[in-house]
Amino acid sequence: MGSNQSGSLGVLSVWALAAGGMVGGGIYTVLGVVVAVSAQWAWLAFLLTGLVALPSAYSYVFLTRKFHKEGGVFVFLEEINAKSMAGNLAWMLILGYVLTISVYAFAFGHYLAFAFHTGPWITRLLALGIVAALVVLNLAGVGKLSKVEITIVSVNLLVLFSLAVYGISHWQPVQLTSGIEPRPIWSSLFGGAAIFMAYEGFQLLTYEYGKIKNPKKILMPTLISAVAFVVVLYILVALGATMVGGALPLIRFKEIALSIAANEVMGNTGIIIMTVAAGFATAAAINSTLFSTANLSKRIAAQKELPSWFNHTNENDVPDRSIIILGSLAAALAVVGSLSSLVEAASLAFLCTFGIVNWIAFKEAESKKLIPVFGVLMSGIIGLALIFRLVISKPLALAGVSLVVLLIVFGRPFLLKKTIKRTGND
Amino acid sequence: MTSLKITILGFLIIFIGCDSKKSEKTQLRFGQFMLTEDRVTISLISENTQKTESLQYAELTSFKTIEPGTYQVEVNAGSNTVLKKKFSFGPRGKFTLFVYGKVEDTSQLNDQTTNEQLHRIVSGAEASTANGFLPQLDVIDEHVQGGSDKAQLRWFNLVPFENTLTARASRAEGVSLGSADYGKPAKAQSLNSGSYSLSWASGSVTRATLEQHLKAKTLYTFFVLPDLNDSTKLHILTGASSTK
Repeated sequence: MGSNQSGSLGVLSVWALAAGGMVGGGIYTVLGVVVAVSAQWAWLAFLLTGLVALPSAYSYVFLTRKFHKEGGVFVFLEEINAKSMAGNLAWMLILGYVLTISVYAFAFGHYLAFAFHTGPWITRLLALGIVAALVVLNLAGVGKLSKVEITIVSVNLLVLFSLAVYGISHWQPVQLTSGIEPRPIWSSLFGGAAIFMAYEGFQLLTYEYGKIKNPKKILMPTLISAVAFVVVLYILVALGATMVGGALPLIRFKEIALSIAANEVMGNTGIIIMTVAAGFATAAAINSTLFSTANLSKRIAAQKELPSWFNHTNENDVPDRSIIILGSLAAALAVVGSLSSLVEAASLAFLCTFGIVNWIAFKEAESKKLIPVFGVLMSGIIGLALIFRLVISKPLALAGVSLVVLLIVFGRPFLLKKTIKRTGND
Repeated sequence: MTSLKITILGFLIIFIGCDSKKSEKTQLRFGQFMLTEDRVTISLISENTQKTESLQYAELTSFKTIEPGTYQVEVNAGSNTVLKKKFSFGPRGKFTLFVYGKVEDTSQLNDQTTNEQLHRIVSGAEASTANGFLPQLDVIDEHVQGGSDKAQLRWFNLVPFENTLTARASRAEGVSLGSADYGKPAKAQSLNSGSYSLSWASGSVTRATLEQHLKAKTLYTFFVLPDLNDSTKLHILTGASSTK
């Protein structure tokens, strides 16, 4: 599988899918959250978290190339014979993806509802509707539409870049704290911790390893440059959009922060452009995450780390049960959850995962060990900052997440034992 | 590739070519909701200017125009300086700056409980605790967003010791306006323009009512305050902000 010369994804496609996987839902949902916490240091929060994403991208590619297998952290842990940990982490990762899909659906509902001036029920219905529609499309075998996704990513990046350039060209630093108190520089640590999920999307590419043309050669430089580009883009958008919209309005309308900024630039036309960009970007991100997560679940079930029930496919060879269960969970969370809680829970799941991937890369590497070590350190620091933030501001949400983790660690072996025994009896 | 370059260039020209024709000035109004019989002065101090408002309890000014910039905001109750904070107000901004809480003779400058300090550290501008009912300063955005036929509503519970209040708006049928703990706003809502009966309740007991005509394209903020002389009575102060 390693040196696949006939794969369908070339450099440009891989780059666009990696960048799109991150930007797709990321910046649309997290800007208001990070401005509230870090104010004029929001750009630094994106830089700090980028310093987790960059070494993590390196570690992901290093391990994927080393093991010549797609499948991400689950496969990495299996390869180093940490089977139990692989199962635990795979479950947590699936939970992280479900939370991510719910954040994208939440954003989709809010951006569209704002443009059409509808009420909270329609917002929820839109979130529910987009997940349901993409579940149906996936069940029909449409799956991942790389070409469509690449087009969406290109338009998406163009809109964001234009907004950032416009804002920065009208340099007004007072807007970065307009209506709020300036924040100390260390607040960027807590801001970054809260929105780390904005960077998670690149690692979905490691599930497509088999489809990449000459992955041994192109994956590392392409993925690293895509992550570096997104770090710079996020920094520019954090500065540009806030200079246009002002800090307090972006916090007040954090669910649709970029539409507020676009409205300041071009009025209703700006809202329409941003809504179209956000709508397509979040829909593509939901589709891509749902497709990859369902396939991951199927793979994990095949390894008997998820009940075999998830290994079922329909006549289109689609893991139908996984798609329906994951989509339903994500839709339910998007309907009942709040933006910051969903974003932070997803961020915690991915910080934990990236820390472990960096640790495995450190153990497996024979050279350039400093890169994964830096990744482990940064994941640890930002992860601790996030846990501290949750202890203070959302202790109940943290307790809920902790309970789920405990259930996974202690309940998973019991559940698997029961389902394997039942399958054996059948 | 050429068409991609042309598209990128076109987009950039459109965005950069969009120059805002809106006024660069900032609009700000002041509210005094700290429980004290003394007049309270709120001063905005910058390198070049100083603007001071002297307000009595439950007073909300009209919007004033100020120069965009960063200001030291100083709040004095009688001869006691209770709050001193730095705030920025950007161009084209529209804000309400209000103070609330209980002023004691022993009140110290920027008094904060440990809980409030911790929330400020991790949540920044979104931190919102009762802060032991000590004096606090808040700034809210007054831009109107949303449909042209709708009015927007939000309300703040500024009644010390009143843990949770709920509100309803009634016209042909009742609409919940949500609930809010002390110091916090209820979630903003949009309603069709028209006349409404608004009511606030603590548990099942209605504590205050208000008849209000809501105009489209207007953001209404209701501040729920205790009566200065009889804390069992609630007072509703209305602030309206229409499209800029």
